[in-house]
Amino acid sequence: MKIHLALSLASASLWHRRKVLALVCLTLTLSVTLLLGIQYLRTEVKQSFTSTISDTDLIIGARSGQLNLLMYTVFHIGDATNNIRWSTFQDLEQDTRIDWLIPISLGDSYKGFRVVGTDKGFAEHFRFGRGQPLNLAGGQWFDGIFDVVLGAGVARTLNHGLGDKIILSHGGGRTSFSNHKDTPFTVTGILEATGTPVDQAVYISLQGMEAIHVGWESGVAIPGRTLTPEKAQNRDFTPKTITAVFAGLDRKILTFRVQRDLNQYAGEPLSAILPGVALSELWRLMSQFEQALLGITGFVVVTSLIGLIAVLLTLQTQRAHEIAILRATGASPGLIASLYLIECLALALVACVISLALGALAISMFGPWLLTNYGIQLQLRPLTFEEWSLLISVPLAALLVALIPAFSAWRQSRSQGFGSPGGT
Amino acid sequence: MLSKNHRAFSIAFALASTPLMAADNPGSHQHGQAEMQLAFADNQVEVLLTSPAGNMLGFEHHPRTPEQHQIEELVTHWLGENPLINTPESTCQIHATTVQHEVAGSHDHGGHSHGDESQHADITVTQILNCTGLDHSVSLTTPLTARFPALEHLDIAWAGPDGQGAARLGQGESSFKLGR
Repeated sequence: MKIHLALSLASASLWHRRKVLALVCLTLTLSVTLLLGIQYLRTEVKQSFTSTISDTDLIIGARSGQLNLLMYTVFHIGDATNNIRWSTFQDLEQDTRIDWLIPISLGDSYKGFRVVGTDKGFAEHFRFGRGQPLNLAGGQWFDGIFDVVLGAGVARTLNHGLGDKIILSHGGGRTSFSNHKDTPFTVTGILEATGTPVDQAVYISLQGMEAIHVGWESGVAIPGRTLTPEKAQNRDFTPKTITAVFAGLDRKILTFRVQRDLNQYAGEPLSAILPGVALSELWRLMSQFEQALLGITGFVVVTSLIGLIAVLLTLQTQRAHEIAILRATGASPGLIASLYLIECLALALVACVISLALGALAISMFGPWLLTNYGIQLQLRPLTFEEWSLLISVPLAALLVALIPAFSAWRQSRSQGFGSPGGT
Repeated sequence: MLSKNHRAFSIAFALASTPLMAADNPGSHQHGQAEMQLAFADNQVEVLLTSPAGNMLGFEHHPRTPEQHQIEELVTHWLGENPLINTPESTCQIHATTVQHEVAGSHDHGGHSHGDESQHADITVTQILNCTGLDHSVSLTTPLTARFPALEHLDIAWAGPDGQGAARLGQGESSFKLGR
C-alpha cells in the first residue's frame, strides 16, 4: 500500500514539474546516448577492424614480421620486403590441404590509391566482415588484360564511372611522373562499399600488371620497348614473381601445421601468418586508446549525474511547500525520502529508454550513409553484455546519487514543524 | 587401437622430424613468456604449447640434484595429465599428449639426454583434447598461469571454423574470450 502511495505521489510530483524535469531528462538522455554510442562504436570498430579480412586462413609472403605482412597486404600500408617466386605459388597450388589461393601483386598506384594485381579468385574467395563476399555496385570483374575494377572509395573520390579510361602510375605515391600512359585501363566494374581497405584500392589482373611493366625493366619506360594494348594481345604474361598469397584451407584444424610447414619452406624464405591472429594483436596495441575513449564517456556520465544532483537539490528548496503538505497529511519522512529515489530512478530509466530508441534510429538512418561516405560500418545489432551492464549502471548510479537529496529531505522533514513550511 | 603412449610418441616423432625437412631460424626464447596455439574442429582441439624450460622448471640445464629431478618429474607429469585449456564447465578430456624437453639443448626422452649445456632450453607440449560443448563456448580457461608463477605472459593464438584470434594472459589471468 505504501509503495503504491509512494509511486502515485511520485508520478503526480513528476508530472507537476514536467517542464523542468524534461530538461534534466534531456541532459541525462544525451549523456547516456553518448556513453552507449561510444561503447557501441568501440565494439563495432573493433569488430569491423578484426573482420577487415575473414575466411582467409593464411597470408603468405616473403620472410618478414607478421604485422608488416598484414599491413601491406590487407591495409595497403608500407611495402613488401621481397617478392615470392611464381614457382612457389605453383607449389602451393599442389598442396592438397589448401582449398584456394589468391595471388596478390603490389607496387603500382593510381592517384595515391594502391593498385592490386590479382586473379578471379579474389572475387570468388575474398571475404570481409562476417564472411561477406565482395559485390559489384555496377559492371563486371576484369576479363581483359586492360580492364580495371575500382574500390568504392576510389570511384567516389575520383568521380569515376564505368567505361572511364585511367592511366596507372609506376610505383607508389600520390604524384608520380612515371605513368603507364601507353597502356590505359578501362573501368569495367565498381565495387560496393565494404568499410575496409578494399574500398581504397584499384584491382587489375596479374596479366595486366605484367603487361604494363614490359619495357620498364630498368625502372623507367624505354621508348619503343613498352607495349600498346594491340601489341599485348596473344602474349603470355605469366608473372615471374608476386607479392603475397591469400590462402584458404579445407580443414581449419590444419592451419597451424600448414603455417609451420610454410615457415620452413625449402624453396625460399616465406612467412605465413594467420590474419585473424595478427589483427587481434594489432588491436591489442591500440587497446589503451580504446580504454581512454571509454574513460572519457564515463566522465561524461559522472558529470551528468552530478548535474542531476545539483538540479534535484535546487528543486528541493522549491518543494518545501509540497513536503510540508505531505507531512501535514501524515506522510512519513521515509515516504518523502522514497519519493526522491523513485523520481530519480524514473528519470534515469526514461533517459535510458529514449537513448536506446535514439541510438537505434540514428544507426538505422545514418549507417548506410556512413558506410558509403566514410567507410565506417555500423550495423544494428542486439546489445552486448558489456553494453547492457553500462546501461543498467545508469539507473543504479542515479539511485545512488538520489540518496543525497533523499537523505537531506528525510532529515528536513523529520525536523519540519507541521505549521511552518520551510522552517526548522 | 593405439595406446595413449603410442599416440604420444607418434606426435612427438612428427614434431621432432619437421625441422629436419627444411632450414629455419632458431625459435625465439624469452624467459617469462610462452606461446600456445589452439586449432579447433567441432569439439576437438589440438594444443601446442612452447615455453622456455625455466618458466616451468626453474632451470634450463639437465637436472643435477635430487630436488631438480623431482621437479622435472612433477612438471612433466602435470603437463601430461592436465588439459592445458578447458571450457568453463571443465569438460575437456585428454585424448593424446606428449611432453618434449630440450633441456640444455638436448632431447630428453625418458632420462636419456645429450647436448650443449650452455644453450637455452624449451619445453614443448602437444595435446589433443575432446571437449563437450566446445563449439558453443565463448571463453576458455587455462591452468598454466596459476600453476607456473614464473610465466608472466602467455600468448594464445587460435584458429577454427569460427575464425581466428589471439589473447595475452598475464599473471593471475586464467580465462580468455574466443570472440564468437
